[in-house]
Amino acid sequence: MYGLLKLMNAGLTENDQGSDGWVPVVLSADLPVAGVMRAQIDATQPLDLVVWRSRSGQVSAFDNRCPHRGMRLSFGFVRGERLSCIYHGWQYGEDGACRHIPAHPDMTPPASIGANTYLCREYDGVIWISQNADNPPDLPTFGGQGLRSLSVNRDEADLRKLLAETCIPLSGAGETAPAEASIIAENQTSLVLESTTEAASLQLMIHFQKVTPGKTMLHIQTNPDLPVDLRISLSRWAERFRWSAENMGTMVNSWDASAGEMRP
Amino acid sequence: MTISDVARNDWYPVAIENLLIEGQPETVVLMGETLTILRAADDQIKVTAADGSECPLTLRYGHVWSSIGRPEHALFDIPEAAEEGRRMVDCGPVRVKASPLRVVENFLDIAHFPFVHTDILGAEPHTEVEPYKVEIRDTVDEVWATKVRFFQPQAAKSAEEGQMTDYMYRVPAPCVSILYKTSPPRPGAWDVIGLFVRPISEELCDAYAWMALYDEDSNQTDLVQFQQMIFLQDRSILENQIPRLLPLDPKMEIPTRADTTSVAYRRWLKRKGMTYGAQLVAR
Amino acid sequence: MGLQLYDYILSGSAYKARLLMALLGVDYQPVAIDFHPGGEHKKPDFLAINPAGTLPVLVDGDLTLCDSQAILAYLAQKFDPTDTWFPTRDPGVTGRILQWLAFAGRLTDTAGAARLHDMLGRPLNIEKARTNAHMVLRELEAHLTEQGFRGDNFLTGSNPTIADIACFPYTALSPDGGIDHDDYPAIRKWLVAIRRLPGFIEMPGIHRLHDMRDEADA
Repeated sequence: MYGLLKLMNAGLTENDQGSDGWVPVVLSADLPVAGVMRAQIDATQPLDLVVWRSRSGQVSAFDNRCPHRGMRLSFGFVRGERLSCIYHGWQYGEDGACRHIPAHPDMTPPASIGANTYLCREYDGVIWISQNADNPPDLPTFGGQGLRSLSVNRDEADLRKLLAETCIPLSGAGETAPAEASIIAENQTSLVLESTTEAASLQLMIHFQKVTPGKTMLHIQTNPDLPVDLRISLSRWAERFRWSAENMGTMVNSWDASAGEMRP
Repeated sequence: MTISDVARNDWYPVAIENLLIEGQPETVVLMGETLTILRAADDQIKVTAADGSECPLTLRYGHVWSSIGRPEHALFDIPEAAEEGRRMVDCGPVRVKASPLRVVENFLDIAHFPFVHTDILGAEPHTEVEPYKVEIRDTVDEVWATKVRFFQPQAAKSAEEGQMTDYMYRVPAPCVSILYKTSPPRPGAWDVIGLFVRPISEELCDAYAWMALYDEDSNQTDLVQFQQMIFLQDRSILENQIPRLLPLDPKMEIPTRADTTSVAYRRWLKRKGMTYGAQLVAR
Repeated sequence: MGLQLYDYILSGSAYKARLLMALLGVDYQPVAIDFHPGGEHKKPDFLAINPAGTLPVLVDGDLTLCDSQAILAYLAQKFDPTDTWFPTRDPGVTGRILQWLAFAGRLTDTAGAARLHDMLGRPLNIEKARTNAHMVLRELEAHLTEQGFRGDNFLTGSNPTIADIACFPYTALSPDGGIDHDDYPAIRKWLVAIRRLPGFIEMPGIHRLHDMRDEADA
């Protein structure tokens, strides 16, 4: 039997999520050392961020804009504990402060030059971002394994409704039919789907990132130590789920009601 | 939107003259207006607006120049174009999702060479930009940067090692930049590389590179493709600068001494009232 | 008379051949064809070499190859003594490599076409091309995700093959056509893995991985 999630320990608590709260932007494994990526967050003020991991493994998030000439820092590169802009090589520390300007190698950059920073925490296999410095990192503990992130052209609210109606595979390579799943925990950023039969029990934790209006990124984790063939099945389940979500003309209460027509 | 007179009444490149085939009209967009360029059977080139009216026309530097307004001045002069022994190279238009002014400003910048044109126009650790001279020449209403020097890893095909290369920059019109660079075969003379930009909209443009070189050996297509390679390295930068419009408010972006040309260019644009493709205040 | 490659610096397809030859350490003579602005690839002199009017073309003695995927297969078979870039002993592996070579054609038709539209103003239904490109990239992302579960960094295993080289250019260059990589974490990791290969060369639109340069961190 696969390990179960540590839901009972930390649990999903109703905390102050939303635009002031914590937003998941990537699974830890998808931002390797020296990795640099762009993350968009659809909030009251839409955010375009660069998220990067230093050589020592520290993650940071800035506005995706070099203050020098406005270049997106997500095109940049990491050396040591600094992020460099691809355009002129200006280097920023994890606190956002500009540390080096290659055109003037002997000059110490003025303290006033810096990228606008965000809170960035790596927690239990997911990287989270918050705009609100006063908000403590009250994040879900899960003990899960990253499966994959998946962008879906659909609003988060619709996806939550559809997930409540879904079936998930409990074995690899189609050995058994997908089993009904139910949402056993839910908060403003995440939900946990569980499916249990006599033979097996599986949990998926899905974290939602509103990317742009009508587009949501799902960051999916599973129970730890699942076999490869089951992880493949779950990845394909995610593809099918997306297909259904995106091809549903209008919201219906039951996803399964139209599944006969909708499934590929 | 209203287009300021200074933008409307200027000359812009609309076609490469010797690629116009008789009887085959080409259409381009200039600041939102569609223009048709035709080489007629009598070999005369005409530029026509959508309403059928004829547009101003100048044929120079290998390009067809036109306007959606009424230019009050002749097209700027590039005296070197008339010098004997130079090869003229038309590199063709490349489309960029950026303000035409951002495209020109990037062309005036050397500090990005080691990071964007790595091992071609620059290379670490030679990143330092030495002081150079910038002026707005009021008599001709142009921006000039002179005494610009930068380390170039391989200045010429024959060069084994890198060397300091001399540059001059000239902005004779808001959407045009001309670069003068030490000519490897004739160290006493300048090679001339022009960037002529046609604004399609405030955030989209076609950039035509043109060269007048002292080079008797290189294959013409190799020269074109070298320039296209350089420009395409810049393109992904230009399409990812935020905001797309060039900020003329000095508080919006942070220049250093290496950006003196860009500072003068922005000040000059503001003074001229050239706001097409620019952002005056933070939005 | 060595290898000749009829080339265009901005062609992602020609870059496939340049990249594999760089990775294999093969010398060749490039012949620049004026694709833009001259349109030389559609004129009689070039059509006599390749009636399809496409780039690249590889000439090796009497042999002329006009398809970038075929060129990759030829170069790997001829110049790869390790037999890892195009292994042909296992029919399953060969089949999968050929499948990805065909897939590369779909990348060219979608993301590559969008790039030509955005960069050189070629006529195209751009929205449709971008939508289709994203569908193709989703397929690639799903496959690379599964490869990741298996512990494989590349399309057909733990080593790169010509399948990776064939699919790399138009995936890496897709932002030139307005198709970014934000939605594709597995693709992003795969692109970096290829860019870190010893002997890797760039083309315009693919920047140097400057983090690989040794520099004492202050």
